[in-house]
Amino acid sequence: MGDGDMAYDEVEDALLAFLRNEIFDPGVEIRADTHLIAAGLDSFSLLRILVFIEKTFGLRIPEAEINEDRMSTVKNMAGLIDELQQNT
Amino acid sequence: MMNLYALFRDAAGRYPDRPAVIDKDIFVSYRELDDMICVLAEDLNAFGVLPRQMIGLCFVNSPAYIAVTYALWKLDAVVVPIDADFKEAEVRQVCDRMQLSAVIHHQGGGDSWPTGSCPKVETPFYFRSMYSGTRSESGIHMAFVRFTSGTTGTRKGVVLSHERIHERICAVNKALGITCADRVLWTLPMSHHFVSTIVLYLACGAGIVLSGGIWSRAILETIQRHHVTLLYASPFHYSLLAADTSDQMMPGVRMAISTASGLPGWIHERFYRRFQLPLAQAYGIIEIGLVCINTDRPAKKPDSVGPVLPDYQVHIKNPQTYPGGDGMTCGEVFFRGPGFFDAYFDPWIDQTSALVDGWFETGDIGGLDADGYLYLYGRKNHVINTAGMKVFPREVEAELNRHPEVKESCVYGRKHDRLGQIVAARVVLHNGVAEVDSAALKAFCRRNLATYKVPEYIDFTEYIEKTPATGKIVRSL
Repeated sequence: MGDGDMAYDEVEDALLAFLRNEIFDPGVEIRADTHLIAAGLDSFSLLRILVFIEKTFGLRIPEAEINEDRMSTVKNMAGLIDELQQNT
Repeated sequence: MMNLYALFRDAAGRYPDRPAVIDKDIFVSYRELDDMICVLAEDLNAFGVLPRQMIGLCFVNSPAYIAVTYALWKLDAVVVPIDADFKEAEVRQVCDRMQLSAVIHHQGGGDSWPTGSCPKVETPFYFRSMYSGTRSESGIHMAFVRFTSGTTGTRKGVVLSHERIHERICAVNKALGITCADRVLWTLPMSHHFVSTIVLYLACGAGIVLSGGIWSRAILETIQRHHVTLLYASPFHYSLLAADTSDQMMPGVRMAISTASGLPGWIHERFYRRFQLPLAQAYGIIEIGLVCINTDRPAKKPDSVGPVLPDYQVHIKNPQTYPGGDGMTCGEVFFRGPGFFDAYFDPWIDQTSALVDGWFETGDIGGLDADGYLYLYGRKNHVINTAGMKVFPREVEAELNRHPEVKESCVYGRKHDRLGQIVAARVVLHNGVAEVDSAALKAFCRRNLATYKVPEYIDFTEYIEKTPATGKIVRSL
């Protein structure tokens, strides 16, 4: 992990806070394992998540990683961010 | 007098058993869609909707969105689409400025809808408003008014009649050649795209396949399972599809149209390499319709939005060499042709007065190559295009300026490789004391603005540059 990188738990917390406050309506319960498409995530919201990750973690998620396996839940996303941070 | 519902009903008579809309595994045939429309029209009529009333429609993409639109047209009411992401204050603003008689909303809270009469439509809600009058300006047979936000002094609402919409879909189909054999994959919000697209597909007996997700795997499966022949999507969707690592191809797709914002070269290259299918850029504006589609040479000239469609003419005014124009002679882009908007709504300005000697001024800067292909290089004004959603800086500035700590603000578009542009703001605080941070200001904006309008970046500054002559804010970075 490089200097200044967040620990996995902090990444997960930051993503959860962002999704709860800025993406989903207050009535929608978002947990680390919530399936985000089923919860109503659309393509514009996905773009906003990508911008949030760019700003917060200084990472550009490659197109090849923007798929169901890597980004369908907060848990997946935090794992992906962790992995990308290890590789930089 | 022609009516777009009658155009649909003709198609439903010719193709009753063909699918009109496919949503996951639900097939709605033309006959079923017509039945839904008729039941909804009766319900709406019983609820008090009258001809020429303005009715807001705030709905997510669904077969119901389409059915309600045509039901309103069947009653000769006027459809005013409202962005499904709009906050209550924004819906109220549309309601007041457009003097809507009612809003049909996908979320709860309004008067109850007559229940049980239309099984395939999830219970919509119906809000009555204070305006009950009907509109009949200048004898225009209004079908649709697109509310455009913006601020005081700008023209609000683009009026389209049944006749003009019919003209524009006839013009578009000379390039697309849609028939009953086509199935179109639909990915974009219906509140932003409808009259040059869905109305056309449903007049031709084609099927509309709702994408059912955003991940490439799900979309590729949908394309294959439902025998999609035409894609209509934004560059972002294509960038995700291009990164798909399976070996699934799209053999049945005859055309892939990229719209909503400019197509970056790298997305075209990767998509073409992956699927051996070029992306055809299309250029549409609500006032004039889809006037250019690069159907002929998308692979050879992927950066072009194509030649102007046969029914239209393009004119480049005040040509000069622009920075970023690759040495091409560029100027302000104007169009002339059929199916243009009938008027601006508020204040009411009829088409003749709004056009410049019969030409529509797009506000875009572009140029034509030797073959007559149009290339776009930027905008004359400051509308921000973030992933296809248009944001008017002055609307966002007005919201920021309502915060008690904010003295003034300047909202502009920053370049972004995925979104095209991203909303950013520079803010001056009273007394220069930073008692609010950017998170607090964003939270403040989110109360009354749809999320795509809320600035992603907020910088605090000591002053905002103004042009010396007019005192206007300088919005360029």
